[in-house]
Amino acid sequence: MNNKLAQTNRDLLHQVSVLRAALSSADVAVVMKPYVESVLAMCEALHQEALRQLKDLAYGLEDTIPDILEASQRAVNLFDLVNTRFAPPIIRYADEDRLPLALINWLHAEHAVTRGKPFAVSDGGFAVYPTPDWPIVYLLPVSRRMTLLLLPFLIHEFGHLLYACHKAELDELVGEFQRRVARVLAPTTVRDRGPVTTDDGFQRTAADAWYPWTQEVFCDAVGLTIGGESFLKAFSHYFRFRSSKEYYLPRRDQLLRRHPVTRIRTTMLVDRARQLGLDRAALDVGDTWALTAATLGIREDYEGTWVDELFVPLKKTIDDMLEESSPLSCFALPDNAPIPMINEAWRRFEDDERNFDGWERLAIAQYLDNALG
Amino acid sequence: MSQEWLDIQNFFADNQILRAITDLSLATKYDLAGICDEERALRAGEARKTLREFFTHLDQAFDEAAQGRPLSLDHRSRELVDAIQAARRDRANFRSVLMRSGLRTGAELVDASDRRSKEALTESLDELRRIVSRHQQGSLSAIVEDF
Repeated sequence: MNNKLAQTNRDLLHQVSVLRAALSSADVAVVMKPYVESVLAMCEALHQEALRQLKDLAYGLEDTIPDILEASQRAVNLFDLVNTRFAPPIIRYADEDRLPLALINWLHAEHAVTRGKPFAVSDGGFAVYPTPDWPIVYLLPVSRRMTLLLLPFLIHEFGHLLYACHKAELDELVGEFQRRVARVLAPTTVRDRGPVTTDDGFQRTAADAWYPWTQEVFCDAVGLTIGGESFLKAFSHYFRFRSSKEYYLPRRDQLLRRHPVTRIRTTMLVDRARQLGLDRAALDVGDTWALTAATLGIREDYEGTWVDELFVPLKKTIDDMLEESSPLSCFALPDNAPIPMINEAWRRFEDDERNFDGWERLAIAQYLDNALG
Repeated sequence: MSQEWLDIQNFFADNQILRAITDLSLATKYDLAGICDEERALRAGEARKTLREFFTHLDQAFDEAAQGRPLSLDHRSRELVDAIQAARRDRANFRSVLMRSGLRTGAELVDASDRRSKEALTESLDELRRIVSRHQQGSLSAIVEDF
């Protein structure tokens, strides 16, 4: 066992050394350099761990073998994660990453809690790996890296990072809302009996589901607060015709998802857009969703996971979460903000589609020159 | 945010606990064997802090559960709380002081100074590690592809 564990750790040392060489020779944008340095630091930590395990093995204490086995497993698993999730954004870097990188660089720099946090982009559906103590990876589809219309989704993903940076305070607020959900969704006979308990099956499951769901609604609100009209338009454009699932899902399927039914998210967004004075866009999105639902023959029904009585408490919860996390307002943007360009892209896309492509290419080139040099 | 990310987040959270368990376990065993290892002693200090915070966090979660309140935790974090509660009821397989006497005693054990307490500590850490490792497997299999 001792020899095999030593072998595993020596292999880890070799793998880390190979990965380090590949990472060090990669050519990336300047804004990604801190990310490269932080992944290299993870490699260095793994190198030190492997050496540490070899030293522990050298003591030859039989009863420490389970400890060294766990430490070795942990190091190997972490290395797999670095190798498969954190290294690829560096190795696969291409010039096409510059547009999302510039937007993320601006977002991070404008918020005190995210300033200086290393980040990178990678391929995939819109998503993020937002751990405050680790480098941040934003994922987005290939063509969306090179075009403007759906870039505001990165602001929603940035919302997850804001959540992670304010987790303790925001978890409190979400917990309060979850308890409200459990009470509101309880049948009257159960409500009259006293506090809803964990034995009250469905209410508890629905309250649990609202933990990630509230986070998603919060991230939409962050998207709207920073991205303004462009976020609302991108959101509606992306989801409105995807499938009937955006409008209705059986209860069982809803409870398995990380996101609430999209129609609830749209309702919350439209209301918040009105509150922000984005009346025209809000009206247009509200009408489109109502018309599409009617065309699909879908009535508004959430099978008990949502009732109108929750609307005001959820809105209040999100207001409080925004106050706690302080995202930048789209009405107080600095001169270097890319948001006006994305708003302009939506205006041109809707009003002058024929000349949109050419305008977009020029706008991106000019923006990147200013933002990244 | 993707499910994959949540699995990664849980993987990191479990990793932090596992590291603290193993660091404290190794330092205590070296201490018992009369081996002086400064790095391990330093790491043990950090590990004690992490474990005390973990026990406090668990204690709160147990209280919430006992009061029948929905927990303000994501699904995977609650699975860990449930797994520890289940282990505490499973007297046949979990016999350490931590599992028999509860988290407050466990938190005190972290600062064990006499030989008997130190032995009780290593036994407790070993059982806790079994539970956290098993919990981490769920996240791990979701993020690192099999071949």
